[in-house]
Amino acid sequence: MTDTAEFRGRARRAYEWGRLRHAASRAWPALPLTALSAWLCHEPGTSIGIGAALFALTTGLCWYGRTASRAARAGLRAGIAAFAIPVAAFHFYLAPDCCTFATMFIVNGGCGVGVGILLSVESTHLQTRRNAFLLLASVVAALCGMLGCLLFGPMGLAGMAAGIVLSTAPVVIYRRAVA
Amino acid sequence: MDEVTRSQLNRSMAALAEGERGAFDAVYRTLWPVLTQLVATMCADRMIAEDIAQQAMLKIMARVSTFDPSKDALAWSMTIAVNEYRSYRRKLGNRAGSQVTASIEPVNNDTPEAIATQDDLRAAARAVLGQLRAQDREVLIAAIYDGLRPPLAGAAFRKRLQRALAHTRLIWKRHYGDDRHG
Repeated sequence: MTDTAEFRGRARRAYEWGRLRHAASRAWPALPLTALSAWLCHEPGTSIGIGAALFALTTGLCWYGRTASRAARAGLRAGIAAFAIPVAAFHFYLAPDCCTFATMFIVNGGCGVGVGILLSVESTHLQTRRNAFLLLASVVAALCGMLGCLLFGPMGLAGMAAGIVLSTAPVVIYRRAVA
Repeated sequence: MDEVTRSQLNRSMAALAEGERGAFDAVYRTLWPVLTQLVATMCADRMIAEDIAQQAMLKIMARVSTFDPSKDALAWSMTIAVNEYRSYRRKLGNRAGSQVTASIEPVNNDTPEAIATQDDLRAAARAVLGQLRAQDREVLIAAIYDGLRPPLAGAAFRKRLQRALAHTRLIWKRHYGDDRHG
C-alpha cells in the first residue's frame, strides 16, 4: 500500500505514459513512409532525419491530445496522399528524362495545394481552434510530403511547401479577418 | 452510484481520453472508492484488496486513451478491476498451487456489507428472471435442478439453455450495464 497523494501521482504518471504509448502507436505510418522514402530516393540520411521529425511530431501531438491530436491524424492521412501522388506520378507517368523543373514544381505544388484544400475543408468541422488545427496538420502533411519530394530534390520540396502554404494561408487570413 | 454521477463519470472519462488533463481529478475521485469497494467484495484481505484496486486504477489510467466514449465508463473500469483480480488469483495459483485457497479466504457472509450485496444481487436476479419468457425460465431452472428437466433431447435442451442464457445476459446488460455477474 502507498500513501494516497503518492499513489495519485503514480496514477497520473501511468496516464501520461499510457497516452505516450498510444500516441506512438498512432504515429506508426511515419515508419513505413520513411523506409519507402529511403529506398526510393537513395538519400537515407535525409529520409531518416525527416522521418524521425515526423514521428516525433506526430507522437507529441497525439500525446498532447485535443485539437493537436486531431490535427496529427488528419495531417498524416493527407500526408500519405502527399507522399504517394508525386512518387506514383514520377514512377508511372513522368519518365525521369522528361521530368523538367517546371513539371516537378507543378506536380508537387499541385499536390501541396490539394492537401491544403483538404485540410482547410476538414478544419471547418471544428468548433474552435481551427487555425491551430490547420497549422499543425499542414506541418505534419508537409513532412510526409517532403519524404516523397526528396525524389525531386530541392525543387520538389519547395513546390510542396509552396502549395500547402498557398492553399492554407488565405483560409487562415480570411478567418482572422472575419473573426 | 446514481445516474447523475455515472453520466458525469462518462463525460469526464471521455474528456480525459481526449487529453483534457483537468478531468483527471474527477475521474480519480469518482473511480477510486468504487474500485476499492468492488475489489473488497471479492477479496477478504483488505491489504491485498487495496493493492489490487491500486493496480486496477493504474491500468485504467494507462488505458484511458483507448476508452471508447460510446461505452459506459463505470462498466469499462470495473471490467479492468475484475480482470486484475482474476490475474492476481491466477498468479497466486501459479506460485503456490493448492495453497491459493488458503491465502484467499472467502468473503465473510455475516458482515452487513456482504448481506446487503447478496440482497442486491438476489433482487437483481429476481428482476431479470421475472422478465424472461416462461420457456427460458423453465430451462434455466431445469439446468440448475437436474430432476426438473423437461422431456427434451440433449442437443435440443442445450440449444434452449444457450438461448435462455443469452436472453438473460441481454436483459442483465440492459438494466445493469455490464455482465460481470451475468
